[in-house]
Amino acid sequence: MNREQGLLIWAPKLSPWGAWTKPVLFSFMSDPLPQQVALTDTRSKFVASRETAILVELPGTETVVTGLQLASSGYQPIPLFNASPYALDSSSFGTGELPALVDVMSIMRALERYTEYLNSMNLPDSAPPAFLLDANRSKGPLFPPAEVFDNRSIVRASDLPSGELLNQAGIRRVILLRTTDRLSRDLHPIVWSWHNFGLQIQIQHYAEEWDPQDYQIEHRNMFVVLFEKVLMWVSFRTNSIGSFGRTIHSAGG
Amino acid sequence: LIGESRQWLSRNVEPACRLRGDRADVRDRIALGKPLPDEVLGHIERVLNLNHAKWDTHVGDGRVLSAEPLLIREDEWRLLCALAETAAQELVAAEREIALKKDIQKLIGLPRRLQNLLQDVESGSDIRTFRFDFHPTATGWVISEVNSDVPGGFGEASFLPSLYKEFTDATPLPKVPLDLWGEVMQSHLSGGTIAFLYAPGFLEDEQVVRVLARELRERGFNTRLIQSPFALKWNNSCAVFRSDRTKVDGVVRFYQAEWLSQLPSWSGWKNLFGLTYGTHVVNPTISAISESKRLRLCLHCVSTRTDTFQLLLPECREPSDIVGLPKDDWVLKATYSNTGDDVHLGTDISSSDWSGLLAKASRQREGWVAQRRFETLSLPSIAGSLKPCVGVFVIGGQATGAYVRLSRTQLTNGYALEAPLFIMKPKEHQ
Repeated sequence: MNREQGLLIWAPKLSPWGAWTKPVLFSFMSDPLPQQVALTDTRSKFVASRETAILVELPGTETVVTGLQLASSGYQPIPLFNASPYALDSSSFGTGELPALVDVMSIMRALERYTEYLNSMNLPDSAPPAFLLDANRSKGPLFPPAEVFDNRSIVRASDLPSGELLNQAGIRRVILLRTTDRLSRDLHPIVWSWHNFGLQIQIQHYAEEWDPQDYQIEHRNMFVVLFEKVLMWVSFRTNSIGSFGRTIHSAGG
Repeated sequence: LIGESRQWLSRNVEPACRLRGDRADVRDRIALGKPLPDEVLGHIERVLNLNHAKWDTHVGDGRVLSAEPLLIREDEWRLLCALAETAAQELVAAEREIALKKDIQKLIGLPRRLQNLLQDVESGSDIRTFRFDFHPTATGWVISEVNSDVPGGFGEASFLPSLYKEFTDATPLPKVPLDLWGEVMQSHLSGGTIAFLYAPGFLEDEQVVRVLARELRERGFNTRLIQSPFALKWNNSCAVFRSDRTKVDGVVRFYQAEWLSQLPSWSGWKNLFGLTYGTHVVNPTISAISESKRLRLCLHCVSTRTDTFQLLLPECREPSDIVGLPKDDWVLKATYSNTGDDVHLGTDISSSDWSGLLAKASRQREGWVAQRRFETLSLPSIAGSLKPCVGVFVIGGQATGAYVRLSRTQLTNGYALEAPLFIMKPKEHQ
């Protein structure tokens, strides 16, 4: 199986959610993909509903494994890992490589190895989405040492479907599957916008029995929002669409 | 200043007539080509994703890859090239003059910490890249801005034409920006190790530097990506990597000059902007001058001729000078509007928001400029009416290729579709 086939399994053409899969890690994968393995822990405690989307935010490979467990409950896992695993390209990876600040490599290897397993599930095109995020994506010191590859990333509204689109697709509820109650700085405005669009937001703690509870999104005061914006601006500035980078300059007259 | 482009322009066209006069309507000189089937477009998207470090082909709720290429008549393309080359020559000359005039640097809103550094820069690097964003209007071509500090779009302008080529009978442009950039770099730096500096967390910037780095690797250079100027250690204007003391022969700066100037001094960012003898830095500090959206306001203060640039760019005024004028006629732009958040069209916001913004811009004079609004012509498309923006590259003084975006709104931002540019076949002129 080659990389393109692998990408198409994690981003199915006919699924309404496949287009959101981030292709970054697939471009760094071995081609052909390495030996495939099956998931050993296939217990699934999740209950699928066509009206429910799940947003998984767990550290590293736990997110991928949970995504596969969700797949066995009928969810289509959609990887949203938007960072490079290493500084060089796949043809020159090897000597002289600096260690990455965020371990994205293990996530990539997990995606590689479980591709055939996901394919074997034959998920229907109508499967509801389980969006997969790395909880460690933006962790690290404000000024990392020179000897690391700074591959931190953030998630923005443009990286996920809008509330309008989720609603049009019949999604009425989003369950946040995570280890803590407090939403990360970058995720808060996205969940807030879904909530404002009328979607029900619930939380399910990882490692606890499946029993999603309504989630009260804290309304942060102006000073906290301002402070967090400054923090994010210092670390990650955004472009006109609130996405990564800013090379697509706006031009208007 | 009188270069080949200016001669070509004077020989072939009367710029004022072409731009503003009776031949101004370019509607019959550009068009969208036949749409690619969805299956083909999907395949192209995956090739870009997997082989060309182009990862942002889906933004928000939709794909940003256009099914239709943009077609342009050959004489019109030559005109754009000549205009862009001439404007680039003018800007290079104007920058050199302004580099010696601190009062003008202040007027154009150049960050103070950069003003002090410009005093030491004689002429800057010869390796310069500009991208002029051309828009077709009812009165001819207009540029909304020039991106000269860290212009992007190399990958899109270079790979899209080759990927769409077999599905259209139009003619590709003779040379793509990536090839020319590689040639120019190779002619200035015979080899060695090049560091590519970009801001961490900016995947869109990382996409660009990965494409540029690959181009140099294929030409025999060693390359490394770095996310902080602190990764370099400088000694007598020569840099080594702090991690393993490897000598650095060149630094490709894809980190906005005004952002670097906000970093703490210990990061060593100033070393990138001084005179560097052993380590070549691309782009030089001086490029921050033409990146300023306020530059147009001050060009009457310099002796350098900038007729072409001024003719192409809409009228600019101090924000305080447009108080009381109809808001629909104006756009407010931040001096270094790297984000679309800082480009505000009067037509798109309420009167009260406009008043608040105008008051803020009038108070922070050096941070803003008012630009007269223009209306980009719309082209019929399968995706609805689309407004083209043709970003013509000028690299080392030579125009080559374009980063084309097709926008549903007057503002061209990250939601705009991206398309390749081809030369129309003669029969398509009709």
